[in-house]
Amino acid sequence: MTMHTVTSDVLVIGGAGAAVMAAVSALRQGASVTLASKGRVGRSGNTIMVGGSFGIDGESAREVCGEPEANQEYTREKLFHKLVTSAFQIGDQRMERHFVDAAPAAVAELLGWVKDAGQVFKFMPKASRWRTSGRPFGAALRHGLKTHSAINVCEDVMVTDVLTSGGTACGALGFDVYSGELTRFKAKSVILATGGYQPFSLQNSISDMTGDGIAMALRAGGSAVDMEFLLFIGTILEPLYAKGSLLPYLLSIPAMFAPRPKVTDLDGVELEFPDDPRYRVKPADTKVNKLFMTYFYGKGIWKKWEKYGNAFYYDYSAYGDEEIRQAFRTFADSQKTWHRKGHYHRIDLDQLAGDIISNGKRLKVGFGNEYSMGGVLVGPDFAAHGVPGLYAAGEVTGGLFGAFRSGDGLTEMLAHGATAGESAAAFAKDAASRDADDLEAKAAWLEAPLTRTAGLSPVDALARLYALCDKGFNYYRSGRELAQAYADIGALRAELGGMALSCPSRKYNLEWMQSVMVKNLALCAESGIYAALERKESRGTHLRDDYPEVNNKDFLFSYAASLDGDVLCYAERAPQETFLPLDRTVYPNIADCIAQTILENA
Amino acid sequence: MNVRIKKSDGLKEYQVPALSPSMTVMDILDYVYANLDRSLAYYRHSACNQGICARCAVKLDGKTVLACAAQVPGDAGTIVIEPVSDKVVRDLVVAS
Repeated sequence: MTMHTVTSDVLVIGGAGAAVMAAVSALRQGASVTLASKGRVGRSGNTIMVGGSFGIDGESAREVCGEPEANQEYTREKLFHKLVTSAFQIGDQRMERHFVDAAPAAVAELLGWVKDAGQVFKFMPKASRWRTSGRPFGAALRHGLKTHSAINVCEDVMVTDVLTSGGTACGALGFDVYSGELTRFKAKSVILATGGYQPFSLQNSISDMTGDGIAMALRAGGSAVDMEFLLFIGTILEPLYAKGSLLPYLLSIPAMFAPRPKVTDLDGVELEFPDDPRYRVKPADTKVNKLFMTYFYGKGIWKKWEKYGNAFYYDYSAYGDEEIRQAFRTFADSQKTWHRKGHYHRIDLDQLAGDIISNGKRLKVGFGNEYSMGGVLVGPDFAAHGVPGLYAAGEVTGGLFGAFRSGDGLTEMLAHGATAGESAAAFAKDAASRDADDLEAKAAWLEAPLTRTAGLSPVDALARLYALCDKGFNYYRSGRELAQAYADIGALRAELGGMALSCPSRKYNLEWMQSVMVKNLALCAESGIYAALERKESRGTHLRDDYPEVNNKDFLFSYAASLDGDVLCYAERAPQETFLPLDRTVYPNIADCIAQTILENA
Repeated sequence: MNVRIKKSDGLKEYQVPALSPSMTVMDILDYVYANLDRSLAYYRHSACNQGICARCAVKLDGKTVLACAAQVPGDAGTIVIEPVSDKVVRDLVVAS
């Protein structure tokens, strides 16, 4: 098999916000830059799944981004404090400070691309947020890339491993998904900007959030932290044509959709969200409702988990047919800047309203995985721990959001990308070009499933992985189910070395792509399940039915995973009081902890 | 329903059950791939499945559609899915 070689100072892997910002930033420092993306830039990656808005603090929105009406009470310090408390204190305070300090300039640069590309983002002064949607965001990123034409862009190339020389990153291996031709990227430094991992059957994210960058970093000698923390939001289960849409989350916001559903389990029993002033959130804190919903509704869903799994209803039977139809028309009208008339993305909202009405005015919903807080362990310069020359930016990293993301992933990726690009360019400036010492081994690992005639199908492997995570590693957890999931993921991972494909073609072979992705996802899932099993408390999105308390006395630390051969090993990493002191209080449950520490309503 | 797919080695026919009163073309292709023919090549990597990325275009009964957005009634008799252009890489996947 021939191997194509692409050479540059800095290689950026990824196709969305973090990757584009990192590539532009590295180029600006004088580095030659290659960007390799599994899909098309600005048309792939979790960035384009944005459903609503993103923001920064009000002071910076006015001073740096030129929004005169931005809420000045939402200060930099308030945002920083919110990040620390929302992370349930296990975030890296240096990264949280970096987010506050670096995001405004990066957002301002993006807003320039938005304007130049003729796209529209609408600023909401009170919450200090910009409303947008995936398509205009992607268009802005493509514009940003286009205006930096010296960046060598390789699209539809699936990067499968970081290559190393004596433990230092020196490029990556990948293949063109259309031709199947292998590509060797030679670079003095490498930036992972590949997004997070979502190991469940119900997702509202792009199709391949398989933790590629996290797994690549682990295999290269790096570490991953906080892998047990995964964020969920209401996502459509039925009707099938709308499955995977995050509309239910938007419909839960009264300002966007007036009818208030009664939320019930599949037997019609109401799931309770207490009407308690302690749980009321301010406009800048609305993301906290994501966690409240999984916590309060999840309690009731968990009682019937074995019977119904991850499913419940939004019940609009208190409203007349026309009220429901009109509410969807009003919602559609509010979205018309970014979506086709009457639509939210692909969904015809009038059709959906009709189907809800004919289904007893109920919409079948589950909590779908939106984002993973955990990821590659990095330092303040976004250098990956343990692998010189390797950097990471955006959702692929861990450490910023700790146990719960209340800040914005879109803002994160821009801020991270800008700094990671600078750091990787600086590293490349002083580094020599090296030949990888693991190229042959990693190419053999990649191509092995193509050569086997019998073995586990990647399709079945992925189905098993989703099933075991759906059952035992979802948003509500207990020791018994986690222990089973841990045994199951271990057994599955042991079989993945023997996968075989139905078709040996190298040309657009989905099974071949999935053979890589399932290995990546299994590595991520195993590290997450292990940490979830060992974390005998609740914290952020890690909701333990058998350990409801937030135990800052015994569990105020992160689990960091690394590989020894093919075996995952774990270490505890305590957060540092770099800027704010740590609170050692034990809270009886997640809701009380949120009320007292994040919302300060108590 | 009978689903005829123009693969690189000829027209193949598959029997797909009505999983819902209305399915997207992507639902149908996913079913065929997972249950009937894992050699099928159709655009599925880094796909948004929400009509955002616009990369899953195919021809449905001769008309160009996005597979993730176009709906087919569960009781449709026979449908034909073909590549969107002549630049076929394999089966339903075309060069971009």
